[in-house]
Amino acid sequence: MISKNEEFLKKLQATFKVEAKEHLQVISDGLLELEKTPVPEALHDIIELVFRAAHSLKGAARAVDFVDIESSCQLLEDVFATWKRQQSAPSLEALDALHRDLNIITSALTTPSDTTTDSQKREASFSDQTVETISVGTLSTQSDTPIAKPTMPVPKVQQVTASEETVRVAVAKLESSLLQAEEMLMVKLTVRQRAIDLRVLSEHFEAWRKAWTTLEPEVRELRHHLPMQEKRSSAAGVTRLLDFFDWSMDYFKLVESQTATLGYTMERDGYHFGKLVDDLMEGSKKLLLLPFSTISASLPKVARDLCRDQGKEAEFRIEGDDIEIDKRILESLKDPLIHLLRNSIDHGIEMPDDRFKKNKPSKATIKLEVSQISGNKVQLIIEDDGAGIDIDKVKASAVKHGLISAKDSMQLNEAESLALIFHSAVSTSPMITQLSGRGLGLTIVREKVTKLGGEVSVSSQLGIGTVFTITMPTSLANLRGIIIEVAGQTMVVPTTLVEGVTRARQADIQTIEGRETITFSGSTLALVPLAEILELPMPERKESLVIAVPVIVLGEGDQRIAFAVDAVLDEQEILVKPLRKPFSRIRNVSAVTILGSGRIAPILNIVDLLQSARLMAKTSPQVTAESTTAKAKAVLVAEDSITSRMLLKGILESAGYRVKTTVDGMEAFTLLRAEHFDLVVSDVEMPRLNGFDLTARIRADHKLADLPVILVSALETRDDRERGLEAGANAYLIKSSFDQGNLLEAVQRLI
Amino acid sequence: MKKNMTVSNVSAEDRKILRTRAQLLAQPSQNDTLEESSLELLEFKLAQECYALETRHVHEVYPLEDLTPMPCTPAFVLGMVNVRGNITPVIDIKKFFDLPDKGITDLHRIILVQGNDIEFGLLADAIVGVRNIAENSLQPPLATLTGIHSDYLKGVTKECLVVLNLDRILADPRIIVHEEVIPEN
Repeated sequence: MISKNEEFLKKLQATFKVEAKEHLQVISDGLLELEKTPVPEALHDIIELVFRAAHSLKGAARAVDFVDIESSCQLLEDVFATWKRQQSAPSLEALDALHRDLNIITSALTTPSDTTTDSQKREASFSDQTVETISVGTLSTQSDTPIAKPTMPVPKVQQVTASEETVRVAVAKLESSLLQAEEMLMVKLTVRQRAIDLRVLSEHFEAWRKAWTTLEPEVRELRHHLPMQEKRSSAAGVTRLLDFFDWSMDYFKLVESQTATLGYTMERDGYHFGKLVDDLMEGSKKLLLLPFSTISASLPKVARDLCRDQGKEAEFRIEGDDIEIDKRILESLKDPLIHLLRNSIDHGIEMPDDRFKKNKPSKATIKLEVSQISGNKVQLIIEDDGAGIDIDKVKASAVKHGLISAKDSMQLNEAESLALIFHSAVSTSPMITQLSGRGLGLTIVREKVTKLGGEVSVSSQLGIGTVFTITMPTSLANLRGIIIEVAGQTMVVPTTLVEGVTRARQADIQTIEGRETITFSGSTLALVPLAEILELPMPERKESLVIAVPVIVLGEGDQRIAFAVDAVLDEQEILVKPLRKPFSRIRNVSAVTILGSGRIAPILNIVDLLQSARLMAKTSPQVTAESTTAKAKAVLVAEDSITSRMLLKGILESAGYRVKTTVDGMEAFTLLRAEHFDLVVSDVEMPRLNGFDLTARIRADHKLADLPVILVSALETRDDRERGLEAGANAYLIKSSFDQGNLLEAVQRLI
Repeated sequence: MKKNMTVSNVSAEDRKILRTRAQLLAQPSQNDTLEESSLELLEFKLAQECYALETRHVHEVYPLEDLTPMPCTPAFVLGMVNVRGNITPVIDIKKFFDLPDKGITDLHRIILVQGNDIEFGLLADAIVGVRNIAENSLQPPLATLTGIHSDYLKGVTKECLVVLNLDRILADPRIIVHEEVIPEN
């Protein structure tokens, strides 16, 4: 049990961590600035700044009982105090030591260790280093005279723009409110669905009106003849009937117009709600726009540490880091950025000696430039003045890994060759280091950027430098999807990934090498039934394919494949619900959504679908003739439980029967009179019309009287069985002892 | 023995008897001590068999309606249902344990369970009810009797009610659906 006090302390410590991070950032920025050896006045200001940050951090650490952090800060404060008195720039070695100390404090913050031995050890190593630092620092001030750089500004870390009032809100809270705002999309979709339902309802009145209009002259005629027989009592009934006929006309018209009005109102409300929801979502998204500096603030330190590790020298500059971008985009951008930075330092920047030989300044420059190129687009440019990319090496690596043939590689122009570095396995680095060289990094960079709807490109000049350009949206767009029907199920395909939607008539479908193909915008594409890819029961093929098959085309260029579906229903905004455990990854499905009707629909994974289609083409031989189910017997299943229904359908279908299902006896009976069936399998306990009564009705109907009926029931008493046979059932199976063998046996015996 | 037992005319002797009797009744019964290690079970029916699981895992019991099948999932995943905006996978525990299909089921309920960061609905024909049993009255399960590996069972009651060990099921990697199109070797 956690006591109230402990709980409070925990909360405080969480707050402290946020505060501590800011102080550490100030110190880290200050130290980086000191390295640039600014003018004495600026120097004083910076030292003052880091001194105060260390002091505040110390006080905060004491308040929440982080003893080791407190003492570490005390040491930092001492070092800074010494510098303050000396009024000169500290040496590089001293700064190195301090950077290491910062790392120690940062890791102490992130790892929640409270064991005394641990913290003591940390403290011990810490103070050793720092004591050394002080002495080194003192020494160096005597030997080094700072080179003055007159225009170096004081870092603006703690400048707060006071023009706008601000409130601090935890990002998690904002995120949950954004998620809720996104859920409001459901309201928009649902209202629209209801409006459509009402329109359909209104249209039903049309049929009634037609029927009424054909009957109306007869009614008028009848009324015309009526007065002569007025005195007779039987005529009174007819008069009442005719009056009712007239009254119901007026009544129906009233209901009709009210329904229509309701439909219009609903539609108008739909637009109104839609606008509100859109505004709300737009506004919520803006709440999560954060300045680029939230991810770039740590980069200068990353760059510095990497350079120090490799004995390289580089200055890292960021421009435009006040541009605001959606937090979720920023988060996924951080890793690619760090990777590009590492790449640049590891492969791009030469050792100081080499640079000197090449007549370059020994200190390299890496520049990260952020700029808004349009309302919803930003451009990030990562530029270095390092060695550049050796195109011949890239080509050689690509050829070696079988990406292209040596002959083809000669044909590529400069840009095309450079683009090869985004392929996995291609690397120009002869050696795999901890940082890079495995050839995977840039692939991941491109993957992440494309996933967010951005693009990445590279240009480079050998010996002069490399430029990576990333173009990104500033906020995530709502996903739109095409609603399709496959094997009777509703599914969604992201609109942006669909190349085209078309219809293929039987005459358009050509069989090449045993596979079906269609021609789409000039090229021949493989035609694959989507149901088969999704391992769903294949819809039965109509014997005469007069109606064309709806087809969606997915993929790019010569990788395109046409997928046959049952129907293309609609295109609309969709709310993406990610898969959650126990679903971790499902083949061919990337997420799910809820449609306006409240029903769930899987969102298909296009990359998987293309891969599955290719895999299937490899493994399965060509599709053989399609005449297997031509003469299959038709069975009607009546069952109110969905699972039992699916089970019965599955068993019968796999035995080669054509199966239709209904949810109760009434529906079954209606369907029996409309279509031909060879046999009925029915549950007994069903709403509206139960199995006994359904059987009795079938026996009473002169057209259906001979139709075999199998009852499948949970009622297992002798009475029930006798009642079933009395009603005219040909077989009575009991659910508890049911298995597919005795069902199929019964069916085979009867038809 | 039709004595008028109002307080005023009870004899001292009777009073003594009553007091000892009251003191005896005030003693904690043996059942009370057992109560401390009792299990609260939700008993449900699935394909003519009775199973039970601890109620601490159960979040809610929900009617099974509008089941959406999920393509390309293992057989034990029956589909998904929309529980007030929450998309919940529905799992058939019999298929999960590869039990033979015995009889036909009349699935009408799902039992929403959660734990170990996982949430799903367990299929059931009907809910029998909730009851308490003493933990030590459970007998070790016989694998041959239930067909379910004894690791996944808490035990079997005297009435042969099979008590599932949901902690184990939730921690089982097999319950996580993670499949690539091209299997990684």
